[in-house]
Amino acid sequence: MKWRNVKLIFHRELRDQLRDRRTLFTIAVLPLLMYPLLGMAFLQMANFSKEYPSRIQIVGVENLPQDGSLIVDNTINEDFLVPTQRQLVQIQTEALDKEWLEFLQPDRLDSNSADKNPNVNGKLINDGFSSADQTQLQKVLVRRGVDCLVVVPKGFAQEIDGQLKTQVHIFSRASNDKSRIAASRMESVFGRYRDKLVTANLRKKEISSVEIQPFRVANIDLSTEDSKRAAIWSRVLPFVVFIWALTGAFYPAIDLCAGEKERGTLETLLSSPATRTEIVWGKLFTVIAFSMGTSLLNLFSMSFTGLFVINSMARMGADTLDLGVPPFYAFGWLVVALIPLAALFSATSLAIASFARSSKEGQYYLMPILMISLPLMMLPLMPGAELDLGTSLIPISGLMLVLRSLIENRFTEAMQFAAPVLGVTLCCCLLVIQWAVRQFNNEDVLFRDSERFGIGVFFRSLVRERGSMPTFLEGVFCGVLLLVIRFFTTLVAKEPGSFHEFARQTLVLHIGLIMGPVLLMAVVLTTRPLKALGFSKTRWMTLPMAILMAVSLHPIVTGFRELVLKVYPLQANTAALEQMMETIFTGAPHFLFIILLFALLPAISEELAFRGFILNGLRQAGDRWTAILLSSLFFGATHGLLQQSIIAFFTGTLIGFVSFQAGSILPAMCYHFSHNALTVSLSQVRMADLSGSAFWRFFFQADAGGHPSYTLGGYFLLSAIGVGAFIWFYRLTEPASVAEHSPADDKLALEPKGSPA
Amino acid sequence: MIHVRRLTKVYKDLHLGDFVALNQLSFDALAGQIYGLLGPNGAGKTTALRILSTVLSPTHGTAIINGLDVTKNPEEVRQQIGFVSTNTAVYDRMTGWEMVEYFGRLNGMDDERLTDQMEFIFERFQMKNLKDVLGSKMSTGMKQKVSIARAMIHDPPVLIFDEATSGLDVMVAREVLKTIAQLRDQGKCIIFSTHIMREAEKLCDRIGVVNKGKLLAEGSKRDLMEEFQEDDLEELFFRLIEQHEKSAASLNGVEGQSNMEGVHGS
Repeated sequence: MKWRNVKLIFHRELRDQLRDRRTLFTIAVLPLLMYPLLGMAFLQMANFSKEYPSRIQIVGVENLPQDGSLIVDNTINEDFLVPTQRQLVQIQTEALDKEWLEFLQPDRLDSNSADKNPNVNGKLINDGFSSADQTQLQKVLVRRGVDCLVVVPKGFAQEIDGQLKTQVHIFSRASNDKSRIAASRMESVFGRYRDKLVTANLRKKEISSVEIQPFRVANIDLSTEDSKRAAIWSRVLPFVVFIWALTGAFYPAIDLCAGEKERGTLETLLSSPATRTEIVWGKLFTVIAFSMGTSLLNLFSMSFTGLFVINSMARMGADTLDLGVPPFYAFGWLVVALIPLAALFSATSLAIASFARSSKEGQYYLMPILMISLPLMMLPLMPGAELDLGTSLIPISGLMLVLRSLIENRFTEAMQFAAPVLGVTLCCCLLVIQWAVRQFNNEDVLFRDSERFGIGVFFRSLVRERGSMPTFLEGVFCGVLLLVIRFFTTLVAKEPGSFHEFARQTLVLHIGLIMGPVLLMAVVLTTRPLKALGFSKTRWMTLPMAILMAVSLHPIVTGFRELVLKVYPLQANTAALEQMMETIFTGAPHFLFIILLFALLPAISEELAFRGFILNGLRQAGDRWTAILLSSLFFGATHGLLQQSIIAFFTGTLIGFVSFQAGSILPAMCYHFSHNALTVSLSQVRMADLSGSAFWRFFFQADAGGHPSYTLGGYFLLSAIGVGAFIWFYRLTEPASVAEHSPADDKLALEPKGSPA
Repeated sequence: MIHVRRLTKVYKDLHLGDFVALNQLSFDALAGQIYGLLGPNGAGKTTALRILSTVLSPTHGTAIINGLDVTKNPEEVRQQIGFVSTNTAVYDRMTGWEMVEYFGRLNGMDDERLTDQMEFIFERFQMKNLKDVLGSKMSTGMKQKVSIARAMIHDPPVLIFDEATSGLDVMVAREVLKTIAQLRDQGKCIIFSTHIMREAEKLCDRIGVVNKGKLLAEGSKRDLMEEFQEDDLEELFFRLIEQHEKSAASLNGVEGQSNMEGVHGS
């Protein structure tokens, strides 16, 4: 690659974009002018937003104690109002006359009803009032133009002796903001009034109020104002920066790829001596520059505008949060974090934009990118999201959490996880850049013409062009279909109450919902379904070798499982689920049924799907590891829980490799069955049953639950055998042909060197 | 200079399945000659020239340009060629001068040589008025002039013109054709595709008639006239195309008939 050409392309694209009014608007005009204008508009609107007074109808005012302490001169006594709300409560009083009593039916308001409901204290009571009553009461509120209705029952003054025999009713509409606020204000008023009565009652009985309140709780906040501000900024700033980094990358990427296609200049560039890789890097640097520029300009402009608005509102007397100026070093860390992130977003945008035929089509692709990126950006904002090894391995989220730690001055914690975060981000960057280069090398992508699309034509072309093996896209479609099926089965499936119920659900899942669609796709979309599912000849030695590898590599998989559970511990409810499964196992009529459901059935159905149809489809793209890893990704994702998915991804990669090397699904089935059978057996057997034999004692010891777990000696011996078997297996086989597949070379595909003639 | 052998290109098409855009195309073009690819729209001319310019790769077959294979040495091939087509547009937000300079630099030219060559080309093609005009402000003729200047800035031995006069008014088209003739006289090897008979007749030293990706006839104008006993190139062209369409249709009919026989059996 000639960096001179990359620099030339970068300079040209940069100049080109800077001459584009739309780009200039997005990166410069929008942040520099729009935010101040929006800020001013917000301040104008803030003048209109004020606290409105609550209009309250109090019925049965004559039932209140006659000393007049709560209501004085037809207004609430100021002693019971929060100082800031003294002008905000307007009351209309009315007697609880015959008409009201008929309407409200005193039985439901009398003191006895209070005993029926333990939550009467300060809560809106719906019990006792039918929906028709509630509708009537709502109409009363609307007709009288009041926000809430307070009913003081008969005998209230006599019964307020601390025996909880009476209650005040507040009727409001929670769906209406003003009504809800009015109810809350009245709750506060009656709460204060009650406290005063309590004190008076105690005084009458010559009991000190200290008797019922022996201690107070003092919650002292030790954090400084600066650290509180940093805690807020550390959440806001990375989010703003990351969102704009993505937006800033996407629009120039569309213009540099789809726009160039549209204008016909891409062909001009492709016929120049610059290589596709040089073109991609040149364009990538341009997109990165715009991503960073947009992000930083937006950050500074939004920060200053935000501060200006908050300070102005504070001067206007509004109850605003004192955010202060963001710490200066925060901007430094944001710029540092922005470099890998902008590279990641830019490469992704470039790869996706290269697929679009026009700028308009390119803009449709923004939404999927946002839908994938936003949850990763929102994750660190969730309460309780902390930087640990698990979160540091999540792309984008890990980087945001490290940034948060740095802005909050938790430098040691940030540095502790900086390596995994940077590692993951760098890996993602490199993978996506490679993808972008591939897109630019794919003439089907670069010269995609508009085709009239019709469902009928599409299905006819699928059948007409079907080959002996599924295509890459058919493989991906099968994987996505299984994921969707898995999602909906999780939604509708009930927790099995017995082993039989569990067995029925498992059979339906594996036979009906995994094998069914896969077999149907193999029959409809390929000319040789058995071959498409991976039923090809292979050396017989690969079968016992697969079993040997499954058994001897089991300790490594178990070790990996423990590592995963340490990094991502199981939630309490997940552990309870596992406990429930244990209970179901005990209901099995025979151990063989457990083996059948947990080992044999998945070994057949999942292998047909993931190492059969999907892997054989994905391998048509030509790259062995892309096919194995992508099929394992689907395999892992269908396992639901994150922990299970990671472990299944690891195991799926091993089995995928075995299947690919052997050129057949049969060794994969042997491996899968042996692995699952061994895992289930170890979970069902008690170490006490094995401890009689020195042989078993060498390999196993009792774990906390009394089940066998590998001893150090057993772990190393089996792992050594496993690695040896793996190398032997590798030498025994060689990768099946994955080159361009055509009907003519069907005979060559999937025929490993080791297979019999 | 250019040796094309059994060049084949197959596209995937949703409606047609495998679509053969080029079917074993073979021809030779020499230095100091203009080789004309003559064919109706959709004949495969653009596909052939895109393969020669390494923008597309062939499904089968080879193309050697100045001793370099287009599939094995694409970067080196691109330094040997200048490619102009109706699709090779100019950048809207670059001036004529900047555009030509940019491609000169991509071709590895040093500052001194580049400036000399640019001055020469802008003078020769009377493009000085285009120096500071942005691509978006240029007329079609102006754009084509800049495109030709961009393609020949590094003085390549091979120039490929794909329907270079399409959409131009007669005055500009005449000027472009004159330029191409001058380049031939300088000893350049030129491939020129067109569907306009008069252009081919007037300009090309050798002509290849293509239809549906197949080379139907090839030779100098005189050779073709003699071989097919025809006085007029246009008439010859229509005759060849009609014959090919008929034979293709009858072949399809035979295939269809044999398919039917296969279905119904005996």
